[in-house]
This record gives sequence, C-alpha cells and structure tokens, in this order.
Amino acid sequence: MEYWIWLKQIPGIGAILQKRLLYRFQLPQAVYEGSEKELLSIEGIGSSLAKVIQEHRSLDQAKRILDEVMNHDIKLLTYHDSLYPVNAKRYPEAPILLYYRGSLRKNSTGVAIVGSRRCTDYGKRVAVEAAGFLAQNDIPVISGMAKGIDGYAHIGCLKAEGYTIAFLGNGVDICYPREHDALLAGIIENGAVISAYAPGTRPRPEYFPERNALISSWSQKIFVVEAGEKGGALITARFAKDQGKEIYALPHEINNSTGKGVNRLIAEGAHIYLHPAQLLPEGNMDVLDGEFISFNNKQSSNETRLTNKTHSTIKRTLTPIEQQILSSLSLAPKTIEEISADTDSDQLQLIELLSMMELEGLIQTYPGGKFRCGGTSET
Amino acid sequence: MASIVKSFAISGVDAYLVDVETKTIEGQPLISIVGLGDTAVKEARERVEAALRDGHFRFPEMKVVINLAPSDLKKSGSHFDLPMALGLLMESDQLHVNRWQDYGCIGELSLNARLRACTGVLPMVIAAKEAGMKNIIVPRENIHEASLVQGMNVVGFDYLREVVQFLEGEKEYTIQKEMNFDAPAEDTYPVDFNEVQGQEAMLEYIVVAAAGGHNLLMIGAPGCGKSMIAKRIPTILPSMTEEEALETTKIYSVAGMLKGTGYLIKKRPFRSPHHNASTNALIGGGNNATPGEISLAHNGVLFLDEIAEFSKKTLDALRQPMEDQEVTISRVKYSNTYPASFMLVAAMNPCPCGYYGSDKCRCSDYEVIKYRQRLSGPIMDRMDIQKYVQPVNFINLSEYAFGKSSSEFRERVEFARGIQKKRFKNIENVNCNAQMGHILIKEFCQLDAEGQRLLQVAHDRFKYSARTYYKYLKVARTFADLDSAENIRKKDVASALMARDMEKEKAGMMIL
Repeated sequence: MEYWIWLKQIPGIGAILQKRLLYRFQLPQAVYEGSEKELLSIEGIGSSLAKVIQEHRSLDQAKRILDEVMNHDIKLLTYHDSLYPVNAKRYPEAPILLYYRGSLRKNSTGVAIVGSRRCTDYGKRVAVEAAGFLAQNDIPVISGMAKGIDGYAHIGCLKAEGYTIAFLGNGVDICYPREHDALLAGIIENGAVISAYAPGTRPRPEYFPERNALISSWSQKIFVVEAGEKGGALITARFAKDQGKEIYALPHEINNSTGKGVNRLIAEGAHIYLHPAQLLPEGNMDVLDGEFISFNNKQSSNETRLTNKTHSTIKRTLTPIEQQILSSLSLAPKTIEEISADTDSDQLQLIELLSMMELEGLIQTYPGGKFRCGGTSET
Repeated sequence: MASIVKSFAISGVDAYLVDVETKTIEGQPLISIVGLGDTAVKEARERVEAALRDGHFRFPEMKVVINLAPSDLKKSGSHFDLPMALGLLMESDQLHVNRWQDYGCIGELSLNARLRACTGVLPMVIAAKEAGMKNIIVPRENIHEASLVQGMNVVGFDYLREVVQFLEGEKEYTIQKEMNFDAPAEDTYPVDFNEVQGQEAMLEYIVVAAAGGHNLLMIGAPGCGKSMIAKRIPTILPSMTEEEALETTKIYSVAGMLKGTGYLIKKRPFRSPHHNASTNALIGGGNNATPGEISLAHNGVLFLDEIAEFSKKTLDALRQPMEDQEVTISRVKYSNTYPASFMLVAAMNPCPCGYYGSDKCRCSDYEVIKYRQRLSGPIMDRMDIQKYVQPVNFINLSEYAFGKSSSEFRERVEFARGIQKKRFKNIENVNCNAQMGHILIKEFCQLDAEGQRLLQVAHDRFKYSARTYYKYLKVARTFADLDSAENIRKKDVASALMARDMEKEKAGMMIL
C-alpha cells in the first residue's frame, strides 16, 4: 500500500500522469523500481520529471502516512479497487488513491446536492426535502459537509435513513467545520467521508476546487440549491458541466443576492428544479408533466394518512377561529402578535388556543418564536 | 485592671460581640493591637493617637496593649477606633462613665477627632440587641441605619469630645432637628410596564415569572426590547416583608453600600452586572470575601444581559447558589456565607447574527446550537421560562397606546404570592412555586382530569424528560394561582406548555 501513497505524493506528477504510469507499469511498486529509461518512455515524462521520481525514491513519508491511516481507522481506495466507481473514473483527473472512513457500496455514485454555506430557510427546506426523497429511493446523496446546504443535505439524507457520501477538502481525520463532529460521525456510520488528501492535511482554500470536482465526478446529477455570485457550489456546477452531468438549479427570486448564481445557471441552460423526482435516474424535464402531478398527489395523500395515524384526535371539525389561524399561517410563519392582528383576537386567549393546536399537530413551532402550519414535521 | 468597651465584628452578614480591652503597662510608649485585626484595625493606633491629641486629651506615656476578644477570630474594619479611644481614656483616668453600665459603640475616628460613618452598622446593632444590650453609640451619619432595629437606645455624635461629655453625664443627648427619619417613598419607580408596546403574550409570561419566582430567559433580536422589559420587572414584584427587607439591608450594610442613606431597603434590588464581570464579582470574593452581585440581588432580581457573552465558568458558578439560595465564599483569611435568593432574569440573542427565524438570518443550525451551548445545560435547565421577545412593530408605534400598567400586573403578582405564602408557610426555604422540589411538586401540583390528560398527550408527543415535565408543572401551578384555581386546569397546562420556546425550537432543528 505504501507504494500507492508514494506514487500519489510525488510532487509535479498529477493524476493524469500517475494513471499513465500505472497503465504502463501495472503496479506502483513497479513504478518505484522502474529504471530511468523505462520512465522516459512514457508520454509526458521528460528527463526532469524522471529525475524527480528517482530523487523521491523514499518510502519514509508514505510509511508515516500509512501509520496515520492505521491509527485513525482510515481505509484506502485505490484506482484498481472494485469499489472505485467506474463512473467516477471517467473524470480524467480522478485521483489514483482516496482516503475514506465509513463504508463504500458497490456503486457509491449518486446525486450531488450542493449550495452556499450562508443559506436561506428556503434553500434549507428544499435541500432537506430533496435529500430525504433521494434517501427513500436509495440513491446516495453526495455533498461536501460544509456549513449550510451541504450539511443540511447530509442531515436530511441521514434522518431519512439514507446513504450519504461527503467529500472533504482536508484529511478525513479532521472535522471541518468543527461543529459538524456529530454529523461526521453520523456520515461515517451510514455512508462515507472521502478525501484525496492524506490524513492530517488541514483545510486550505486551494484544496476545495478539487474536492468539488470529485463531488461532481461521483454524481450522476448535480442539484445546486443556492449560490451567490461566486462560491464553491458554482465551481462544482462548472465541473459538472465539463464532465457532462445534468445540472438542476433551484429558482430564486431575481433580486435576491443569495440566489443570483443559481438563477444564472438556469439562464445558462441548467434544468429548473421543481420536484425531487427529477433527481431520480429516469426523471427529467420531459416526464414531468404527467408523472410529476400524479406523484405529487400520491405524496400528499401519504401525508394525510400519516397525520391521521399519529394524531387520531385530529378528526374533528375546526372552529372558525382555528380556521382563521390556519389561513393566516398558510402564507408565512407568524408570531403570536401577528396572528392576533390577522384574526382580530386577544393574544392572551391565543396562548391557550395555539398550544392546543400545536399539540394536535395543526401548527408547529417555527424558529424565532413563530408558528407555521404543518401536520407532520419535516423530519 | 484593663478597661473594657463593647464593640462588634462582622462575619458574613452577621456580627458578633467583641470586647475591646485596653491596658497600660510600664514601658516604651507605643500602642500594640492584638486580636487578629486586619490592616484597617492595626492602623487604628495612628488615628486614635492623633484624635486624642487633637481633642486635647492626654496620650499616656506608657505601653498600651489593646486586645480584641475573642482573640482567635479575624476582625476587620475601622469601626474599632472609637471603642479603642474610649478604652484608652478610661484606662488613663480621663473618662469616668457615669451614665450607662452597659453600652456598645461603633465608629471610625478622623485625625481631628470627628466620628466617621462605617459599614455593617445594621448587623452590629442587631447583634447588640441579641446580646441583651440596650444602648449603642454610633457616628451621627449611621443613626438611621442603627435605628432600623426596634427597641434600641441609639445615640449618634459628631465628635469624640461629645461622646466623652455624654458618657460622663455632663451633657444630655438631644436629637438633632434636621434629622429626618422618614424613609424615601418605597414604591416609586421611574419606569412602568405601560411604556412597553404590544408584547401582550410575552408580558403574561413575565407576570407568571414574577408571580412564581421563576427564572426567566428572554430571547430576541437586537433592539427588540429585552432590556426594557427586564428593567421593569422590579416594578411588578411584590413588596418585601419586614424580614426580607432587613436581610437585604444587612447585606448592603456589610458591603458598604448604605453609607449616607442608611434607610431600610424596601425596594427589591435589581442588579445588572456587565457581562465582563468576573466570577468573584458575581459570586462574591476578594481578600475579605465580600458579597457579590448574587447576594446584592438577594430577594430581588439578578439581570444578566447578553448572558451568552458571560464566561462559561462564571455562569456555572451560579449553579450552586441558585440551588442552595446562599453562597459560601472561602478565602485564606475568611470564610463567609451570604444569602443569595434571587430571581434570575437573562437576555440573549437567538443566534450569532441575532436574527434567527427571520429572512435576514444565515446562521446554520449547528452554529445556532453552538452559540446556545455557551449556556451550559444545567443553567438552561434552571430557566423555567424561555420566551421570545418580538421586535416592536414600528407601524403601530405611531398610534402610541399605553399598555397595562405595572400596578395592574403587580396586583395579580401579589395575589398569587399571597396564595403561595399560605401554601409554603410551614416549609422552610420555600417561598414561591419556583423553589418547589419534586416532593412538593407531587404534593401541591394536583391536576384536574382534563389537565392530566392534556399533559399526558404533550408528554407522548414531545417525549419530555421527567425534569422537563416537572418544570411545566411548576409553571402551570403559577398560572393556576393567578386565577386562584385550586387544581391545575387544562388551560393552565396549555399555557405552561408555551413557556419554553428554546427547547421546542431545538427539537425542530436539522441536526444529528
């Protein structure tokens, strides 16, 4: 194994050259032992690079990394490994060696859900919903474990008991951002965190584009939930375009700066995301019209059934004031003060009423001391 | 025989009797003070000498030994000056006490023989009374404070010479005319709840918090009025009983915060330390183990604005005093116990940016959780009521309307406290619903059938822990008390269930 690590770590030799070397020598050990003449016979390797390879013929660093790998229960995924997805190898710069924690499936490629770190509640909800939907359909959710949309995509998937993969811009033994330690553990348990970087590598801005390329290469489709005018999600989208993947983008309000990037993607030809079913392998814009609607109905009838099952008390007619409250909340989450203004009722009486309605599942608490409609919670 | 003058020393918020013994013996002229006094006590020798000379008394050309008995307890303070000076005068035959057999005296001397006010007078006079004394001499500025103790014969003077003349029986004591024994009006606050716009639902929970003594956490965006509400909470708290007022005044007396006023503190204290406060400032400490903010807030409100900005260590130090309603400060020299029974009112932003729940906020749920974890679980747990304060609606602000006034709220609070007083009259250390333990909750928080059923439904749905369950019961009890209901009704449970916004919010967050 140390030879794989050695080959990966030679400076000046990129993934493409590494693969050429592998193709010619079959095994990294053969590269290590190869003569200068043999090395020079490979296209792209001149005398200087051959010299670099020979000068770096030391396994010290590789052994050190291997120790780290052992200590942290990290696994190695080589290019020759059967778990290395064939689709991911289509990306010319696919690394010859990946470090990972967790477990890989036979084919771990899936659908990427990416977006900005500073996201809106709208983006959050859509990401969670889409990830949950993919989880139910047993499609791996691929993302980058960053704050914001990435994190919500993983969480949404895990909460729906799905399988998810996170690509990191740092060693897999490091948790970045730090507050995601529980999430990291969750992903390792029900998926994998993968990195092209050796254990102990700290995150650096220049590492993230390569990670984004990996996200894209392991995905059949890319769903960009939210992106400002620049950001990692757009870089992922660019890679996805280069790699010829289908890109879905969530439409945003045009004068909202948080959605400018995705809106531009749509203008440039990305598919408009309207429903998670589009992210299924067979789903696309064309089948939307018919199936989307029928699917939608199925979903809503599902929800009602669930509601009735969990809260049997709900089977009763609503009082006029309850109906008023629900219609007031149907537009947006509101505070008790706003509800009182909308329904023209006394706040003190609303306290008791809202509490009862929440217990019955007619409404639910929303961040900021607000309430919103909702039978079942999103989780 | 040594001359003995009675005085007092402070330990914690209480005082004990000290015999100041003075003896002149042949030897080099000097004063030696023994009896474990601190620097202030030791320095008395210079003040006493200067004061005697300035007052045209003779300073004995002998060795003077002054002992503060009991000699094995540490003593501090400058109030031993007067007893020492009197003892020295008696020992050198310049003073013959004709008036009283038994009296205590307290007072600091200035270099020109004037008497200065000192701290801790109230507990000292209480100690005098408990020791069976009838008469006490204090500096004139401390007369008010000393007179708070009923049944004591308090005399106050400006100069050492006046004290001597009085004790010898040369002069009678006359109450100075300019002395005004009327305490300032007790119930006037510069603020009132009617200045708070809207927030009716929120104010209802404030009333509940005040009525049941529940700790309160207000969450809200910057500028939504958290501090404004907090400042008005004392205006609706019930007035203090005589006993409570005396306890609080004692603490202030010991802390040296009564100087110049000396009236009984009748308003409940409101302390709002800045979040930069050290643990010692909050809990008490320093060389002399002096009381901290939590003791100064005894029987009142401790308001921690921006509680998330306090250091975690400082906040966690609050846990034990909140549980025991007193705090013991131990230092090398002293170990004091101060009462600290307060209602904790805290305010914080909901998330790092402050606008959680609005469109403006871009904080991820993990960031929000991390921010809130600055308050440790046990502290959060002690916050019975956690409510959001909503930003004021500026559009309605133009049609300025007064809300309900503080006096209206206060009436309800007093009423509910009255019920609680009856309920807990035989139980020590419990005055309000918030202080009930599990056993008392089981005894006093009886639900009617509907209320029981509702709480069961809520419990099944939200999967409360036993602790949370009891918390809701306590708050529901206060809701019922406000309506003078004997058993907790469905409506009380429903209202109590809305008292903990933060907890409910956490349940809905996207975290693992």
